[in-house]
Amino acid sequence: MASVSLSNVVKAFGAFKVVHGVDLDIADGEFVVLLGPSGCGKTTTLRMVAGLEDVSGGEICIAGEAINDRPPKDRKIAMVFQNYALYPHMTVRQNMEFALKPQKLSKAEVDAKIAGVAGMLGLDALLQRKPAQLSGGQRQRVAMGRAMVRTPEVFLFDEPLSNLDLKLRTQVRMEIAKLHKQLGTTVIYVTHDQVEAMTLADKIVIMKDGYIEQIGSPEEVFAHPKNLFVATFIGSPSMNLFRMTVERSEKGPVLSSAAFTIAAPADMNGKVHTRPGGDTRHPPQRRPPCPGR
Amino acid sequence: MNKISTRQATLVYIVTGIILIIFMIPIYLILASSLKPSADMFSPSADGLFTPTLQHYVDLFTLRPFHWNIINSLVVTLGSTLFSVTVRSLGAFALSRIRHPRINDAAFWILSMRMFPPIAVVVPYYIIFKSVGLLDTPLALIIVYSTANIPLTVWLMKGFFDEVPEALEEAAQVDGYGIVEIFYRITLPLAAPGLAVCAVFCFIFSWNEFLFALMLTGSSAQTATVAVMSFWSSDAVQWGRIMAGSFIILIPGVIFVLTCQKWLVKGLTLGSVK
Repeated sequence: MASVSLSNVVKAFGAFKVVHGVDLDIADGEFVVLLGPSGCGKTTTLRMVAGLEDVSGGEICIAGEAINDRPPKDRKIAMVFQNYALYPHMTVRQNMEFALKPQKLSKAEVDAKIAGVAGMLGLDALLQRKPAQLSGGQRQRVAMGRAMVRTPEVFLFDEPLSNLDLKLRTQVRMEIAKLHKQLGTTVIYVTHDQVEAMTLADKIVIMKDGYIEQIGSPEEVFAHPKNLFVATFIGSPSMNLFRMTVERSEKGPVLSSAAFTIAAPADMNGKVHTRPGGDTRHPPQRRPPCPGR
Repeated sequence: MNKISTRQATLVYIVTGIILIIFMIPIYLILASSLKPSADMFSPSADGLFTPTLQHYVDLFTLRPFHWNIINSLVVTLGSTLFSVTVRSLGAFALSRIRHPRINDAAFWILSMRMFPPIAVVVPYYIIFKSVGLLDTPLALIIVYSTANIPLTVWLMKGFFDEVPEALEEAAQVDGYGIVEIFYRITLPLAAPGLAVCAVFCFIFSWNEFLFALMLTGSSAQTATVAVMSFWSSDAVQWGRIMAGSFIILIPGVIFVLTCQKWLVKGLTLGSVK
């Protein structure tokens, strides 16, 4: 298990930036969900953590160590891919063995690990089958088994449920939550499905266009969205929005529209001001690099 | 898909049969002529029957060292096939995976080698091999054959590598493997049908090749195809021996293709990614 931190992480393809200086701290054992619409940079961010994409700027640390220049194999991570990426020419058992081979364990240790994971995920009966002989849900479980068997410090999930039907998705979601509780491993989980995010996450990171819009617990982002994007993105049906005008009244400031008028929230007092155009986004706060260094 | 009706099936069989007969006629003629006594070659009896004889086959191996020609052919063919398949699959893998703005130009440059006729390079090859002392050696032919089919096979293999999902290689990367291991353990086994097709192409090309073998070999490295033609002289054409030699030349190709056939199956990548 390990903490993960991203400091001002940038990804650019040529002159085109897709991730704009992301800052994120993930505590040891935390389940963090990167949530956002397609093309918001969440998968790219996850792939940078995995080492499958080069980092264009900033620093990624796992357990306090900068890992920008390390190949994926030296990052102590395991990843579950959206399309499972099972090796089709190997049986389920061989898929797991293949993942363990670089660790150079004894045969007894390998067998014990596979038996443990297979038992936990209910794969015992499938060990001799090839991926083509499995259903979608079974493949998904094998992909998780292959990741778990390596006992990584950080699990990365890239939209692991998006290819499953609704019923199966709910079931596997429960299993993932249960497994996280059992193993206590740090998890970074990418999805565009807010139900998954709300039910699984300790912390949700909402992204849009390569920027982090809000980081918070599911309750926080739901009840106290930081900006309009988060407010409309989270919740189904989404939050109602009204264009209001701030006015003075004898009882204090009020918000009024053509249809109704309400008292301005107390914490708004003194904060209302206008900005002469331009970017209303919070300026990114720069932080020191890896805390462990 | 709709089921094929009996009528359609019959039609398919009839058409296949006709095509098969058209393709088999030359092979039948080769076999029949190789077994005919020389006297019956051009004056068949009225009923077309003849007493078969193995005399031409015996002559082939006793009057000439035809077995050595076959061994030369095998060495050259297997050598160039092995070399081509190994080297070209690496090249094709690079073309398939490297992300570079100019990579397509490199691929096209390789293809452009196909655009000139082989005869154009025979003389330069002759001069080069003569100067380095490789004339009339199997190595010369291995080099020539290994380079001749580069465009076709590299492009063929590239197509098969493109079909292997990159997610599998990424999964292996995360699992702790380097690029060389990933290539040999994941990508190459999944592109096995391509490798088989490639090997079949190389084998058939090298085994049947005549022009380069004729120009670049003398007596010691002569291949079977050239040796057969040596029965065609200005004095006489010994059809019986030519046909016997031709029939023997047919056999290894058929065996090789049949051996590779089980790898020529599609669908190895089924079930890997959704």
